[in-house]
Amino acid sequence: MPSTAYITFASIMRYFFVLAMLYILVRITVQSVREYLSIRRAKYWVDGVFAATVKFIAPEEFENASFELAKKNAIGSSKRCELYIDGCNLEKKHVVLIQKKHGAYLEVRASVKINGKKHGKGEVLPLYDGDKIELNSVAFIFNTRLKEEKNAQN
Amino acid sequence: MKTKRNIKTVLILFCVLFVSMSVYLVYTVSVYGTRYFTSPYNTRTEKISNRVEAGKILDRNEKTLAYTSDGEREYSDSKTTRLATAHVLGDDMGQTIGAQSMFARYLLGFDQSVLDMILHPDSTLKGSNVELTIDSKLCRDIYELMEDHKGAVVITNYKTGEILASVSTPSFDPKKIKDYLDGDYELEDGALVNRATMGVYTPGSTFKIVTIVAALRYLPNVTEREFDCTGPLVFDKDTGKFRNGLTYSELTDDEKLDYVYLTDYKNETHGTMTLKEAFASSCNVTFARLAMEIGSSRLMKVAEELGVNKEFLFEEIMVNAGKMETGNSDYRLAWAGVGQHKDVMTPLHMCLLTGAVANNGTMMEPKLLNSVKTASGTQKHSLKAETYKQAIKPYEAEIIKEYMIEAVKHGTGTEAKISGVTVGGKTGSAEVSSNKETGTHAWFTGFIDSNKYPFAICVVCERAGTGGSVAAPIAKKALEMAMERLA
Amino acid sequence: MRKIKHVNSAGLLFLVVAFIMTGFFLLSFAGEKYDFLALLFAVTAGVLMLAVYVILIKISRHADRFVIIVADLLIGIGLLIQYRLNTDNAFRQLLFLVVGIILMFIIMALIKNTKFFEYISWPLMIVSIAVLSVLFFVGKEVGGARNWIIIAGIQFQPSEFVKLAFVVVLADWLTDRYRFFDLIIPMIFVFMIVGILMLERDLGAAVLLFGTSLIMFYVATGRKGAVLTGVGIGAIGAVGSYYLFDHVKARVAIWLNPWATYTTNGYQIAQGLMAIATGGMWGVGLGVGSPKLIPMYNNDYIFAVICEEFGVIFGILLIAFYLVLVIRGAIIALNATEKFYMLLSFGCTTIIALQSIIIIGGVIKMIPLTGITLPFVSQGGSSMIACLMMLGVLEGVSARSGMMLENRMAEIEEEMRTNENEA
Repeated sequence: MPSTAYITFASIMRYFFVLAMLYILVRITVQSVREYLSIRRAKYWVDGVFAATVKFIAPEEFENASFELAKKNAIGSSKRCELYIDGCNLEKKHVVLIQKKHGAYLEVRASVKINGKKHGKGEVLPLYDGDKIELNSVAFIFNTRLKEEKNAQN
Repeated sequence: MKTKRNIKTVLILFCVLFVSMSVYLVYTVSVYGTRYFTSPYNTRTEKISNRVEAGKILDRNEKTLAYTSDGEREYSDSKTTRLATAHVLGDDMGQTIGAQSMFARYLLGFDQSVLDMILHPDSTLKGSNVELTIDSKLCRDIYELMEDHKGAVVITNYKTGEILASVSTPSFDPKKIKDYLDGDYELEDGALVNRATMGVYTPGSTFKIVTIVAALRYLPNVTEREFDCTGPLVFDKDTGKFRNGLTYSELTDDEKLDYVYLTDYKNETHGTMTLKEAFASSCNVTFARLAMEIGSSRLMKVAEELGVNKEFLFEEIMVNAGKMETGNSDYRLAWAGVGQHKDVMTPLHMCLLTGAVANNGTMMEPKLLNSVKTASGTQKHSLKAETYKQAIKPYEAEIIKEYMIEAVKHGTGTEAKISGVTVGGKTGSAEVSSNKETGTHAWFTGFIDSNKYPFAICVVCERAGTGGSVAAPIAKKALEMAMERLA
Repeated sequence: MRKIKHVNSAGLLFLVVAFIMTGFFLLSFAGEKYDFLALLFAVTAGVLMLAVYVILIKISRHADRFVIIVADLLIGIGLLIQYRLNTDNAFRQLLFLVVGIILMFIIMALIKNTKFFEYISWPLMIVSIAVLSVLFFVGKEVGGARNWIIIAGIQFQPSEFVKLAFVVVLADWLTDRYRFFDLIIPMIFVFMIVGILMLERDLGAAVLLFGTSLIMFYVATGRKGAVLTGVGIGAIGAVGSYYLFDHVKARVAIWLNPWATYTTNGYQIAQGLMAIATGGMWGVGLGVGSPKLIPMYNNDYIFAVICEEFGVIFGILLIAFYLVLVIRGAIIALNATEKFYMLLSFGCTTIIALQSIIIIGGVIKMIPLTGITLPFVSQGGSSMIACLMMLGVLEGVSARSGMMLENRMAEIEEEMRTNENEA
C-alpha cells in the first residue's frame, strides 16, 4: 500500500494527466489539420487546381517574370495587393483575379483590356488559358494547367 | 473515385461508433456509478478505509451517530438509538447498504478538491463528515412504538423530500455485526433488511390511491357518480370473467362452487355511496368495479407513471419500487385494483406517493444528505430539494387529498386524527394468506395538511391486523412526535 | 524543386515523451524505496521513441508523423500502466516493442520501395489457414479460447498475425475485381478463417475479421446490397451461435446482468464496472487503485484499470486518441495513389478501429465482452508486434504516396520547363 504522501501526490497529478492529454489532443488535431491542408495543396497543384500563374510581357522590366497566383489576388499599386506594381499608373486596386476549383475569373475595378477587348468597372469575366490581360502599360498572360477535359469531367 | 467516397462513409460510421461509446461511458458512470461504487461487492472502499479515518455521520441536529476511533467504527452510546438508526446508517462490514456505503465517497474523502489537498495535506487522512436529514431522537421514539411489530415507519417532508425518520424492525445492533459474522451473535430473520426501503409488501387498500388516480384520469364525471356496494362481485371460476348480472345472495349452494368472489373486509356492504365515501370507507367492491372499468392497460400506465414497475435510481438512497401485474382476467384485474393479487409496494415508495398527493401532485426526490463538511471545515454539499416528477395532475391531487382527509375524519382512519391539524390518510389491511388465522399487513399512509408540518408518513406492521386499528394509531403518535421535534 | 511541405511535429513528440516520463517519475515514488529502475525504463522508452521518429523521417520524409506520435502515446501509456502492474511484464513489453519496431521498418521499406505485398496473397492465404488449423491440434488453451502456440519457449498468438495477412489478401483480391463470381475464392477464405476461429472459440477475432471483410468489401465495390446480405449472414450466424454454443449464451447473460452470476461468470464485468465507478471522473490516482481484483487486468481489461486510476475523462480522451489514429489512417488511405494500397491501409485502419470498439465496448458493458486486446496498450507480445506491423503498413503507404506525389510534381515541373523552352 503506497504511503499517504504518495497518494496525495498521485491525487494531485490526476488533474495534470488529464489536462496534459487534452492539450496533446488539441495540438495533434490542429497540426493534423494543417498537414492535411498541406497535402491537399500539393495535390491541387498537381491537378492544376488553384495553380494558375501569370507571366508578364510588358513593360520591359518585367518581361518573362512569372507570378504564382493565390486563391484571391488583388492586382494594383497599393502595397496591400497580393500582386502590387509600382510606377505604372495603376489604380490602388485595379483588378481582382479569383481562382475557383474549376476556373478563374477577373473582377474589374478599373479599365482593363482582355485579349484586346476593353472592359469597365463592375464587370466580372471568366479567364481562360492564354488570355492576355492589359492594365494600362502592364500586360501579362494568364496560364492555367487546367485542361478542358478536366473541366468537363468535373 | 467511388472507393474514396466509401472510405469517407465508413469513416463517419467509425466516428459515430466512437462517439457513442464515449457517451455511453459517461452515461453509465453518472447514472449507475453510485450504484456500482456502493455495491457490497466493491472491496476497494475497504482498502481505502484502512488508511483513511472515515468521517463522522451526524443527524440533522448534529448528534453523532457513527464515528471512527483508533481505526474502529463506533456508534451511538444509546442502544435504542443504535437499533433505531441501524438501517439508515448501514453497517461497516458490507452486510447492508445504508448511509455508510452510499456516502462512502464523502466519508472516505474521495471528493476532496486539489486545493484542499495542498493546503491541508493531512486531511487526506480524514474523510468528510456527513450530516443526515433524519432526527435520531424521533427515530428512537418511533422504534419504541414499533418494538412489538415487524415492519417499518417512514416520515418525509413532502415539500423538500427530506427523510425525517426511517425505522425498520426487527433491527440489529451495528456494534455487534462483527460478532454476528463470527457466529457469536444471533440476529432475527430478516433483521438486516431495511424494510422501509427494500421491504416489499402487499399494499392492500392503500393501493386504492393508484386506482383512484386512474379513475379520475380516465372515467369522466366519476366524482359525481353513485356506487352500489350490496354484496360480493361474482366471477367465473375458470375464465375469471366478471358476471355482472349475478348476485351472490341469489346463488344456490351448488352454483356458488362454480364461481370466485371479491368481497370487502368481513363481507361488509356499504350500500349506495359517492366516490368520496367509497374511498373513505375503503370499499373493495367499488374499487374493483372501477379497476375493471379503467381497464388493464390504462391502470398499468397510471401505475407506471407513479413509479410502479420502474427502477428508482436516486442518488442518496436505494429504494425498491412497487410492482404490479394485472393478469389476464377480470378477476385478477379486480383484485389488483384493490391492492391484492401480485401487487407489492415498499413503505418509502408509498410515502413518496402520499407526499405527491399532499404536494399538488409533485413527487419530490427523497433526500438523506443534509450537508457534507470536510475534515478541514469547508462545507461542501448542502441539501437541495429536487422534484422527481409531476406524478399526479394538480387537480387530481386536490381531489384525492380531500378524500384522504375524509378517510381520517369519518372513514377507516379515524385513529389517526390529531387535534389542531388536518390529517389525511389511507388505511390498508393486506391479506397475505388464505389461512384466516394469519393477520393482515396493517398499513397506514398519510400526511399532515399544513405548511408548518409538511409531513408524509407510511406505517406497515406485518400480519398485525387492520390498518385502521393497528397502523393508524402508530402513525398518529409518530406524527405527533415529529411535530414536536421538527416544528 | 517543388516539395510537399510537412508540418514539423517534433514538438508534439517531445510533449508525448515528456508526458510519459512524468508518469514514470510519479510512479518511481510509489514503492517503499525510491525506484530508479522506473526512471531508467522511462528514459529508455523515451530515447527509443525519439530514435524511431528520427529513423522514420530518415526512411521517408513523407511518413505520417501523427500516426507514430499517437501510437507512441498509446504505447507509452501502456508501458506506464504495465510497469505499475508488474515490472517484469513491462520489460517484456519493451522487448516486444523493439522487435515490433524492427518489423515495422521492414514492412514500411517494403511497401515504399517494392511491390512485395501485391504478390503474396496466395501464400498468405495458405499459411493463414494452415496456422489456424494447426492450432486445433497443438494449441494451448488460455481463458477458454484455444489460440496460443508455444514456440521456443515463447508464447504467442498466431491469430494476431493472421489479421494482417487477412487484410493483405483481401486488399489484393478486391483491387479491380467487382463481379461476385471473381470474388468467390476470397469469400471462401473469409468464411474458412472466421469458421476456424469460432470453432477455436476465439470469438473476438472472428467478429473482428468478419466485420473487417464486410467493410473492405463495401469500400472496394460499394455494393450495398451484397454488404447488407453479409451483415444478414453475420446476424444469422450470431443468433445461431447463441443457440448452438453454451459459452455464447453465457456471454450474453453476463452482458445483460453480470451481478446475477457475480461469483462465477459475471465477476469480471462486475469488477470492471466497480473499478470504473470507483475511479469516477478524475480517477483515484496512478498506483492508488486495486487493479488486480479484475481478471485479465493487464490485457483485455486494461481499459478498466486505466479508468480506475486515471478517470473517465482520461478514458474518453484515450478513446479520442484512437479516433485520431483511425482518422489519420483513413486519410492515409484516401491519399494513396493506387487502389491496392488504399484498401491495404484502410483495412489496417479498420482493424484498429473495430478492435478498439469491440474491447472498450465490451468492458463498459455496451456490447457483450469478447476477448481481444486493446491495440498498443494491452500487454501481449503478439498483439504489440502485429499492431506495429500494421503501423508499418500505414507508414509505408503514406511514404509511398508521398514519394509518388512528389515524383509527379517533379514530372510536371519538368514538363512546364520544357514547354517554356519551346515557347
